Amino acid sequence: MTKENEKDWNPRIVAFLCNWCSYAGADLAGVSRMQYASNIRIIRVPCSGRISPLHIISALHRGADGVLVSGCHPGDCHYISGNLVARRKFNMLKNFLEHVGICPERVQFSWVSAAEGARFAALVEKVVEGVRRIGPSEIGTVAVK
Amino acid sequence: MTAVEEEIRKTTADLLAEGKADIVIGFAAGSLPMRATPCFITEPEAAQQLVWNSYCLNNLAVYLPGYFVPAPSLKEEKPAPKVAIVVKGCDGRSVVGLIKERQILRENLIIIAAPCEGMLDVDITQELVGTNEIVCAQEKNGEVTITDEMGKKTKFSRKELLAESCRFCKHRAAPVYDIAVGELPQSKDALAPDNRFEEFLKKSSAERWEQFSREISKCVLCNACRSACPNCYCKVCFADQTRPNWTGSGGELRDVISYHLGRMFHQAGRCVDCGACVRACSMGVDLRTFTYKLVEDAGELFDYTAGLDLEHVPPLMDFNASDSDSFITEPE
Amino acid sequence: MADSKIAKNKIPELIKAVSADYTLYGPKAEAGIVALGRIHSAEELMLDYRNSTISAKELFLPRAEVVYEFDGQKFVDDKLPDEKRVIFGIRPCDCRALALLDRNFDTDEVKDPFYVTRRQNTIVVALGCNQPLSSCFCTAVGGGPFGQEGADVLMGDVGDSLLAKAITSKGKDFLARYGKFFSTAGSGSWDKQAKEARDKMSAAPTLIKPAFGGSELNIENLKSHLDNLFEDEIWETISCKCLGCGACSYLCPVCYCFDLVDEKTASGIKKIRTWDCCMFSMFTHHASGHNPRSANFARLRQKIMHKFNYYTERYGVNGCVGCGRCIRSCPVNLDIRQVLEKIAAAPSATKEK
Repeated sequence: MTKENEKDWNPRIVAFLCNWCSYAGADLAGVSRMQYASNIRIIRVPCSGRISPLHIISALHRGADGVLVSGCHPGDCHYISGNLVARRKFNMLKNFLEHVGICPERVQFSWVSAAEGARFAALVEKVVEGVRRIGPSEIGTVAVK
Repeated sequence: MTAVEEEIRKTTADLLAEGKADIVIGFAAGSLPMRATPCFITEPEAAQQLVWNSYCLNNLAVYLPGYFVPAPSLKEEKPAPKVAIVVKGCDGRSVVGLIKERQILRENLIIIAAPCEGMLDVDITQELVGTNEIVCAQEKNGEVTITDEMGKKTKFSRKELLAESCRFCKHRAAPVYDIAVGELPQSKDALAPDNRFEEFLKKSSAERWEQFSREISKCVLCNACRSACPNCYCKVCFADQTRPNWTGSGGELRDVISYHLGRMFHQAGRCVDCGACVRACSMGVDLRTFTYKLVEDAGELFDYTAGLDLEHVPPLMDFNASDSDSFITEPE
Repeated sequence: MADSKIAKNKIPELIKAVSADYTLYGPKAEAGIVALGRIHSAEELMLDYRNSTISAKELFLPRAEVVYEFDGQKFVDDKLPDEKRVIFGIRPCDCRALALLDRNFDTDEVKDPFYVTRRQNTIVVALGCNQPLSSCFCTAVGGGPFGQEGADVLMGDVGDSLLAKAITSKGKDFLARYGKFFSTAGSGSWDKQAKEARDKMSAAPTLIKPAFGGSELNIENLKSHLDNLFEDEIWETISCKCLGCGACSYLCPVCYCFDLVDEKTASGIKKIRTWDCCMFSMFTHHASGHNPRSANFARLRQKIMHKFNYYTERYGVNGCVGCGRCIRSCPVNLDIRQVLEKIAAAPSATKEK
């Protein structure tokens, strides 16, 4: 996972999007021909509550420079409370990763609804910019022991 | 501490003789100076082996889930044993956590709470004494006199020799118990806290990552931390799974880091800060500087301290419509 | 007795010279533990230490190593680890452990290329123990604080200088090559230090509360005793407190069980050999899901049997060098000496199942 040249480096971001809201929102952005950075790779999941901290850690482990997790707004979850269960987990995980020195811009969480195509595009731009600023993943560039 | 020892022995002998317990878990004298070792008593006569001193450091709760594992088939089902356990604050809190997570049957458990004013750590003491091996330790009035193999005696205040987790501990008495032995500590003040955690917080992101990856690079993946932690009772640990393969076994630093990030985060909202992981580590990795963040967050975000009572649901097993969204990214 | 001696103040020069010709490894202080690592300068080398946390096994059978790599098209050309090395200052117990590992990895039938290459390209310079720890019991298992087995050169600290003795022809060549730093010892001998160390080990139980009846550990007839105890209930009582954490095996200089795993690379796979431990619950887990050693007592029994019965049967010597690392590192103070004493005391009637 070594980056050949600092200048050529383009952040690669994995985005876990919940099927009912965020993925649909991303779809809407696409259908509406909204432009946003192509650095994200989307993984569709049934619900943001499906995301385990291990998924996020694993993405960083395997070379993602950033991880975005997005779900329905609290109160609007297709499965009623999936995102509420996830919310506490995400909060603690974000704090914990930041604590051990992983820049806070690297792992980000958001709520995007199916109607918010523009919001999704703006979100991606913001996340990509944030990751570009902080450089390649700490885990990805750590020296082999 | 001898009166307490006597009481523990008598309580144990009585419980076994009266058939109220099938097994009592406590501590016996260790084979090395300043050590005590977990001990499993099944006969009243054997209760004489039990001790209670400043070296009863291990978290005994780690042994409990093993007694309540359901049989693989109905044919093999036997009634669960009645287990009594001598606990201090930290393992007492672990016991509460395990009851809430349904790993142990409350009705088959007799919790014997014993007094604790912090336990002494032989490795910390040896570091202070130097290369000459510690041969014996004598305690009196808050002072500990260490004799080394050359006969040299050094005096320390008890506070200097406390195990790291004991320095910060605010809950030295088991919160839930059936029998109390001796006088349980009431004070909720930490004994000898220092600011190593606060010092870490002051560092920049890059500095924290440097310290984290440097500490973790000492790890040889022996998994002693996992085996010593009472909360790590999974039949198959995520780190041992091959489908999916969360962390590699190749020993690359990435793999070791992911293992620790995953294992530590599994303690979120559950860790009682007993320090068993730190002490079990064969390579001296300083885990607490990182795990304590989870303990702090559980307190600050959800007003929760693990293991204090049987009523409060651990934070990550619960949710509230009013939980904070402060960590959410809002695109402008 | 010794061939030559080197004044302690000349050691930095010796280290510098050796570093120029070989990659040098030795004991060094590293964040609270004594590690065995690369020595870049004489200041890093630590010779006044008791024993290293991790053993010399790490340098011959690393915790993880790539056995082969396939990039999707062909095998990646990987050289055998032929770095020319000198390991300076490890203890005789670790050297004896290497001799025991040789019996498994370097035989007439099978030669492990990675291990054998490392052994051939490494010169082992041992430093005898003047001050064994109370947890040391090398003398009870056939070794000693100034044992020579497995070392190329043995040194002894006699105060202001180190005496050196060549044990193998490799060691002889080493001392000859760096002869200018040494002077012929004349009547130099470490008998006094060796005797004091041995006396200390016999007397150890009187310095601390006797862990096992006040006498030096006696393991004669242990093997035949173990033969009769396989079905005994003693294993369940002994293993109650064991956490199955594996720290003992990882730090043990003789334990050599390993696992082979395949890992994906960008386009192909790597096969990696890593340390494994018979105390792990998944150690004997079959692909079918069956685990013949699913109970902790069965795994502890296996460990003891392997070291003091099966290994003994196969190679005529116990698979333990008495370094005591397992005793010191065990989080629950499960002391192998106490285990062996309990076994020795167990009535040896064979239990019919």
